[in-house]
Amino acid sequence: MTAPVTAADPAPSRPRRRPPRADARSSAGLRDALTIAAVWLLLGTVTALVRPDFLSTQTLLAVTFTMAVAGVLAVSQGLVVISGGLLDLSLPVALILSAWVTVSLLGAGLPTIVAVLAGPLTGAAWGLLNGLIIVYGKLNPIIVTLATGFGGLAIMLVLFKSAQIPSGSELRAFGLGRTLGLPNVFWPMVILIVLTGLAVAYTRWGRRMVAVGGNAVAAKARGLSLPRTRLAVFGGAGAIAGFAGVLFCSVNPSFTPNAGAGFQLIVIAAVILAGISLSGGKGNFLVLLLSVGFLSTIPVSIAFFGLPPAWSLVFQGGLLILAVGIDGYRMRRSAR
Amino acid sequence: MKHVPHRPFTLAAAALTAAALGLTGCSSEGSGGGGGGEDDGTFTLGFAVGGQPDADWQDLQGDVAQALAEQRGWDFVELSNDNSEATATTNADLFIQEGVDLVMMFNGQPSANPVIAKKYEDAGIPVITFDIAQEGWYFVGVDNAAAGTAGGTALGEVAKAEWDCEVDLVISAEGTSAGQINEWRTGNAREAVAEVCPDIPEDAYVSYEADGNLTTSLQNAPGVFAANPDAENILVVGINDQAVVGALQAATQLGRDDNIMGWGQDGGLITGDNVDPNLAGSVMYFLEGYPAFAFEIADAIAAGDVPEVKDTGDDAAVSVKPCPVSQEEAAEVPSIDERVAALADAEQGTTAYDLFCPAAAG
Amino acid sequence: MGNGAGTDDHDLVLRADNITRRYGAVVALADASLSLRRGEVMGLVGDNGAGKSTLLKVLSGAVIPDSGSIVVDGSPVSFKRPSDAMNAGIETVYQDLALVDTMSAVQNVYLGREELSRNPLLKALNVVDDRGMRKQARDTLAELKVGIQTVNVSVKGMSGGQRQCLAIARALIWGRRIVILDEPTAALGVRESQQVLELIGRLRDHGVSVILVSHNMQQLVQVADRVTVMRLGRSIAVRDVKDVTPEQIVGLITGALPADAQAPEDTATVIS
Repeated sequence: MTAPVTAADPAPSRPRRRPPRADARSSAGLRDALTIAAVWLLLGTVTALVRPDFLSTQTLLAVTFTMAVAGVLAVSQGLVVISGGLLDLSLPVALILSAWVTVSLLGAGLPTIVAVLAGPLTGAAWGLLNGLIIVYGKLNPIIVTLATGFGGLAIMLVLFKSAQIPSGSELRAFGLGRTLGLPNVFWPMVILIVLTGLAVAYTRWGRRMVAVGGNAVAAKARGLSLPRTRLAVFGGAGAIAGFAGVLFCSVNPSFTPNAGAGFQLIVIAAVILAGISLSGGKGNFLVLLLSVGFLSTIPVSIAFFGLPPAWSLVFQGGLLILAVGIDGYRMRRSAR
Repeated sequence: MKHVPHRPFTLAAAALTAAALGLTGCSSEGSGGGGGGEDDGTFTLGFAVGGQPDADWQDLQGDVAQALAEQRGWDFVELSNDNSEATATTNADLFIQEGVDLVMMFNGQPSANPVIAKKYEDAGIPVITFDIAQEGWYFVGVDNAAAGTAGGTALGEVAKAEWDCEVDLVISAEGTSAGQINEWRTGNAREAVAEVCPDIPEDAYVSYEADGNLTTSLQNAPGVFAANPDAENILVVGINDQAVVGALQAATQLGRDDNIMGWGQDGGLITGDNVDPNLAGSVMYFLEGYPAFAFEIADAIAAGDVPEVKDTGDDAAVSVKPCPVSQEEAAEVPSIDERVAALADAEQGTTAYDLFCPAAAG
Repeated sequence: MGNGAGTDDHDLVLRADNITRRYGAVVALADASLSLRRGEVMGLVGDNGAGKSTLLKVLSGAVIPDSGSIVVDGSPVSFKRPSDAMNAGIETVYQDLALVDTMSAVQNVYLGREELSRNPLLKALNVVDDRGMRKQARDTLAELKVGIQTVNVSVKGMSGGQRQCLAIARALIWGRRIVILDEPTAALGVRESQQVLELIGRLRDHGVSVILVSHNMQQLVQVADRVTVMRLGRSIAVRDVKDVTPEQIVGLITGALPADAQAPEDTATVIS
């Protein structure tokens, strides 16, 4: 709700401070997109100036490969954030649990299609579990998923020490292959981001999810069910994380229960950097794709600069702080 | 409080064994050693396993220690630290109550170690710690510096044999958060490669952050290959097998796996059905066999000949000897359960390295 | 004095009789009644704690009464939740306006009732008909003379008056016959308040019936046809606005003027 307007109202003809644009929302998205694209371009340009061989198919392969799993996870996290679910800190568990189920079924000799579908199903079940605790316990999602993240990791440590995808399986072959010159795992990520972006922007389902995230009280007053929306979002986001698990195990021949931890930072950074505010209710998935691409280029650039390895951690931490700072700035500005 | 699996390999059983073997005097004379409270004269060893759920070698350390204590006719008390600071601290109280003469432990949550150390110090009980150093405790751990050198040398030898040392790139998959251990394993490996193949140019050595796990390694390694587009013959060393395999997998993704060889550390991914074909070898530590090394100290203490405390990784009380193995050799190494059984039956003073390392046999 | 109580039932779109609601020992509503004719603006006034808010909540389905009856368009209804009231054609514009800041005007207007594309394939995919919704929203807002330049603008940048008008206009677009407004001008300046009052008048011209809660007697007298006065959880008087002065209404609210019906003085503590 806006601040109360003073009794002395301005003259009727006085123009508003900023004239309305054709579409204020999409122009904000456009601004975010251009900003990230510009920063990305800057990073690429600087790297290419120092190392002209940066502009190569090897770089393209490296960046697109790095984007794949992180990008899918970012979609999952993005949906949670947009819907006002704050953050899902248990994404690494959803990722690894699904990957484990998938490779276990493959190892048991089940058809590839069954194993591949089991991944998203596992993720959806995990997400629903989170959702049920959050909705019926009326608890803060960050606290809940922090707890289930720990608990889930503990359970996985009991279930398995390390998991391997059968080296001769079709899924493994898919993970090693390329299409149109780029890694196979890159394409499902791009398709997923585009489809999710369209669904959020142009379907009734997406509208309502955004509304619940933007103003839960208002959404409820319009007859939308908050519990049902929350459950659907956590379930759906979980299914997407499970899909990430399928891609993950196709490229990671061996993984341990805590192998997902490394994705936590980059995924959250990508979401926030993309302007998907932690306060919920808005987000553009095309910007998210750019954001993931930018963050995935950083380790490659670091390699080209020949910086010591610890720098990539410094960069990631610094970027997260920057992203949170930008998010805070956006919120303060829009609150004026 | 957490459940403490108190597995007192019962005093009765210990005494029985001791009597049957007729080893130590179990009557009146005080046996050598620190001496506990209500001591019946038998030397008592307290053993706290790490209790981390993802590491079966930790429980197996307890099994090996138990077998070795049985051999000597000692009393043996085993507890689990449950991977928890609180449990580890409680266990110290229990051991002190029990009046043990010596404690061995792996504590993966070492933040409570200073407190625990004070307790043992006050009780006058010596402690042997595995892999994680604490001031005043005998340190038993793998010689990481030697492990790095062994891995690097082995990899250099393969490069010399296969490529005549024509190497374009030596990638180091690091885990900087491991600090000095990372430096020993990766730095020494690089030096060892350079030792074997001195003509590799200095700028062919590159490092990247793998954080000691395959997933992070696989996320960060592609950039390294992209940044060195002309490199054909590539070597990979790293802090552990996971980090090295991450680099090898990235090479496969970028189509750079025609001429690449890696040599890992810790042997984590060198056995099994899905060993990366480009992982030429690794360095095994036989973690389950640590107690065999630790018993060198224990025997001295039991004999009343308390050795000087050496409590750092640089200057270890006993260094566990690392064992470089090629992929073919690794397949021949007995499984961990077989190794535990063999260690239990081996004569005193025999270590896992002596029994299972191909290098020791050769 | 023509107090407007005697109305033909067929003319009533809403009739709430003898509504009682207790919270434990506390009686919030005691035999409160309210009737609403087609196309009229009914003011609802009373001191703080007189039961206005609870009555509004009962009529909008947010609170279930202990006893009493509600009849909408001649059929008895029983609201269990807000959507029941909405489905019966009652739209409530809350004080917090119920707008989603991050969404555009048209998206807010259609929130919860998005129209799906007419293309069968897109419809099957749950895709909304943005073009159609925009057009209808634009037309309706123009008809109501709501000064919103373009319906694509995020509501965040809108003035309080524009937001309030949008929230009210939504009722008409949704085809509601009864609109409940709770202090719609409370946060607005003079000029913006005037816009809202004019909009309420135009709603009436469209045949919509309005229940208007306000503390501002000047505004009430300007826009309302009748006024229901509440005191201590009871509806104590109904007046045609043209027959009374603001001072008389205030008298009824404070008890300076006697109630029409004799209120028993043993009523338990009353809260809003």
